[in-house]
Amino acid sequence: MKAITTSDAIGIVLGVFVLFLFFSQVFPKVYALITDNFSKASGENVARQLSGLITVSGAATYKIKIDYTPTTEHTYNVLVKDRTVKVTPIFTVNYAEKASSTQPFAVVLNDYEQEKVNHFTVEKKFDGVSTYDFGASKE
Amino acid sequence: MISEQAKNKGLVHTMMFILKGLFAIAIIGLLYWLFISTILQMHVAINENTNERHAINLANVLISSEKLAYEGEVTCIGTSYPCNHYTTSSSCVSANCGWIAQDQSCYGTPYTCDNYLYSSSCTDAGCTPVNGKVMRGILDVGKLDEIFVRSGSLNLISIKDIGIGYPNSFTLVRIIDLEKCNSFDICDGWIGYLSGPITLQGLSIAKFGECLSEHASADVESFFRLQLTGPALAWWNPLDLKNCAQNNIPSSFSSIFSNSQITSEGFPIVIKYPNGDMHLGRIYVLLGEFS
Repeated sequence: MKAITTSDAIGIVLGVFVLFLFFSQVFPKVYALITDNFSKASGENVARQLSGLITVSGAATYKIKIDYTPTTEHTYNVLVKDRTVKVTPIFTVNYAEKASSTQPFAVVLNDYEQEKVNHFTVEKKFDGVSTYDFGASKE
Repeated sequence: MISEQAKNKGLVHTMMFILKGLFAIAIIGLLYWLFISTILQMHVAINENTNERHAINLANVLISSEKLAYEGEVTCIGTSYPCNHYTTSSSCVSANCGWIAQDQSCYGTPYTCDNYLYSSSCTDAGCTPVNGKVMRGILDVGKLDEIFVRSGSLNLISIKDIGIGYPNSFTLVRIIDLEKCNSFDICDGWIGYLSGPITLQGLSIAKFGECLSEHASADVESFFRLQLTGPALAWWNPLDLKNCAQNNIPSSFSSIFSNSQITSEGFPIVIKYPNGDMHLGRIYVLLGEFS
């Protein structure tokens, strides 16, 4: 009877340990990943959209102005540098502060930095030479 | 005897419970592994899609850029300087005026602005140049020769940053003229490497490019590779490509190369030659990104 109790205890302890590891280490990361990937307002999504829009504006042969407002409920810090755009969402949830995303684009754009914005504009003009301009504001 | 049986029974029960515990752990481990591997597969798929999207965007930007695309003629408008504006004989004569050496003066009637065909000469004459429109998808042979090399001189390829390219990336651009092909379906064209700014320390795209140039060959094998890999990669033996990446890109960097149906089939373009000939062609953009 004593042997059964011991093995039961070992099994329960092991089970609890594995579940503890899963819920403490793996689950939060996966949960954050899924919510991050599938949320329209996530930094990852906004950075991907912006980098895509900046690059694709280069496909316009004369001039184009693109306005993009991912959400009016949240704001972001945005940094454009070395042909990358870094977007950090300003959410009230603590972990979201770390959920910034940096995405590359393929045209030459001046360095730019702005805080707490949610409206972005990408502009391309061709006047003998292609020039690109990026701007952001709070809406 | 009875105590011996009880002891054995206890051992069996203990073993059974240990086995049950191990089985439960194995099941949990298997589920965990399946879950993680699915997440990893999703990540790889997302990265491949991102890379593919980048390659398509890049090809679109390249065929629309004034760096490669044909620009309509420059038109020159406004009023040109009068002849007495010019103070040297050469500038005076080139403006269709007459030069008097004794007086060092320029006289006559200058060309009107619409006589100037180039932006610089138009500005020099006091007129205003109006740039031609960029013709998307029509690539100018003069511009292609400046940026890329003709297919015959593969070992002269160097990596260039023309202001179009993703950071920490390597772009292989292959342009073929579909109206200049031999009996083996190997077509004339251009090939070149483009790169964006490199911000990763220790990453040398140049060495990778040099390695590719050294191993590029337009031999009989390339004809067979053409059927398998498409024109973008036909110049290289797959083993050489692998070795170039392994030997020149540090293993600490992860890399992903686009090689899907879309990039292997290329984008349709028109190639404009200086004599006015227009040939049908294709542009292939193969993008390697490092992180």
